[in-house]
Amino acid sequence: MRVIVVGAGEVGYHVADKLSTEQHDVVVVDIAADRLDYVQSHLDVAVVEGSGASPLVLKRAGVESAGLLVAVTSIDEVNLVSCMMARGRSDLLKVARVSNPEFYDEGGHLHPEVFGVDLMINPERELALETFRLLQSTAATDVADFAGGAVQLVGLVVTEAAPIAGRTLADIGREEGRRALLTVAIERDGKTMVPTGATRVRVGDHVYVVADKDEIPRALELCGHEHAELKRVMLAGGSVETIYLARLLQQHNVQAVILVEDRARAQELAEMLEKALVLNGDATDVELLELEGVGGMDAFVALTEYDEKNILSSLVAKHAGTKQVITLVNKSDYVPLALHIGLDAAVSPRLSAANAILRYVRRGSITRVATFKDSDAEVISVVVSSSSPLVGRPLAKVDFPKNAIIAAIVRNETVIVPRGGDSLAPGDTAVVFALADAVAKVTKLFPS
Amino acid sequence: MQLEESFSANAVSLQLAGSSKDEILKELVALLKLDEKSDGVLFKMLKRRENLGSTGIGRGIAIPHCRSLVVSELRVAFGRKPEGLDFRAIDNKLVYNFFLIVAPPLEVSNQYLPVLGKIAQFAKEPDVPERLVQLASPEDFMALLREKAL
Repeated sequence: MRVIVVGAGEVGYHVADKLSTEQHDVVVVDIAADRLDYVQSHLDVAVVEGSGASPLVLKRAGVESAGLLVAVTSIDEVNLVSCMMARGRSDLLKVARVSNPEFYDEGGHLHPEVFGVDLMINPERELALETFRLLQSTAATDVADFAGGAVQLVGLVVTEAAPIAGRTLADIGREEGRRALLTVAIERDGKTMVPTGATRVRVGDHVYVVADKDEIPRALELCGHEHAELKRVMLAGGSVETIYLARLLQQHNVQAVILVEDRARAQELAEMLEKALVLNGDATDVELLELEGVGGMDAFVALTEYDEKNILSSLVAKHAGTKQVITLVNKSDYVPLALHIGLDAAVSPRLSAANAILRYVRRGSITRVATFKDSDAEVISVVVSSSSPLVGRPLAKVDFPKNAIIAAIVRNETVIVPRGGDSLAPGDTAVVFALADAVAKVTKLFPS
Repeated sequence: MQLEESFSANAVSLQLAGSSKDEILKELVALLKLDEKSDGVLFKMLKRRENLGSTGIGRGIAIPHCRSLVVSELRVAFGRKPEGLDFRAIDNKLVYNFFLIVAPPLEVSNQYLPVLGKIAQFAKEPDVPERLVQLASPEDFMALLREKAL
């Protein structure tokens, strides 16, 4: 399929990267020649210089034969106009990045249909949703939902207190019996691998576990983390992300204390949020954080617009003993770095947005996809059709691609962690973990 | 624990006399009825906290708070200044109602943050600023807390 990506910033780059490795014919459009040079030297894509809001430029990019238009520049209007230019094409899927919340309000004058947009993606809101999922499962570095939330993927670092440290997965599996949880990947020394029964878990390993939602507390326990209820969270910064997250916390009766450096902005937030305690102050001020009792909070989330401030205040919070610390980093290159210096989890609005777009684009038989932040791996959720060559055959007898694993099967709302003797049936939802090189092969095994 | 249980009528003053930030903070500390030395320590701590950013959270309400060893358990007080005071609140409006919260640095029951949160919630109830103006006695204040049942 031909894919046109308008905007070569971080969202566009990430989407173009993923789709091009899946053998799509990707064309990236941007007005900045230097960004395009960068994209072209790193990815296997074509580039067109010019404004994505121009019909001529879109034509040059081959919009007539495209199946997907992803408009993700940092300017809402450009993205909307870009989709508008192609609104007559019903066979073209149009995705626009739109940050202004007014476009989403029910009373808003501009409805998606007017612009011919199939999906509007709001990076700030996607980030808040992702952060909230992380907060709900304390200690997790990554969380993604599958099959309507019945199955979750969590990333966890194995601590010294972990009962599984030093033992093989086969041993652990025997003890856990038929519990619906499975280790699908281990990241060790910067490399991600799909483990076998003989793989021994080490302290410091970053393990990815797919499990029935109810088994997540057990997964935390096995990796040496306590499962704690979320009651109080401190947020730093008066960003749009803060507002979205504070609203989610409010809905779930979690108390929020928000530190906002700018007084006028603090006042705006105080008026917008009914329950949160909004205080005026600088979140990188060690003394202020201590006086506000950051160490006694269940979590600290740094959401200012400056990466450096976020990382700094997160380190202070971590040092003070806050149980969970989540840091917003705008530059996605900083994400692995943040984990390296001891922060619990890092989120990036651009990566959150790119992931939401990828999930949507690959819907259909493939229902939801999570892309790992700091490794080249993906989790794919597919509805199994009768035309799949895997149907009805025991998994042990199936020639499944190397570096991929069926992590869970959801059948009639029951989550099954499959063994060799299990087989897939039409209508099942299969959750598959795959390293990048195996994604295309896996997708072929699940025709719609 | 209900918010009402943290307060007591004898740590409530509906007529604060001070006309400056310092005087008001001193009056609030005095409501806790500690010794003179402790009063001085607390006043300094509160002032330092205010210098990092005002605890005036808007709608005429401020929540001066700090942790200090001079108390052995969570202590709270309420003071009202009918004429209002410029406390550099985030909405730049005058502050009429002051909630003081002081807790020891290490507190077993960990009531500090919940109480702080509940006071913030109390302050945000739409009718609260007006109701606080109408209070005629410390007992009225206690009754209002009871009514809100936070």
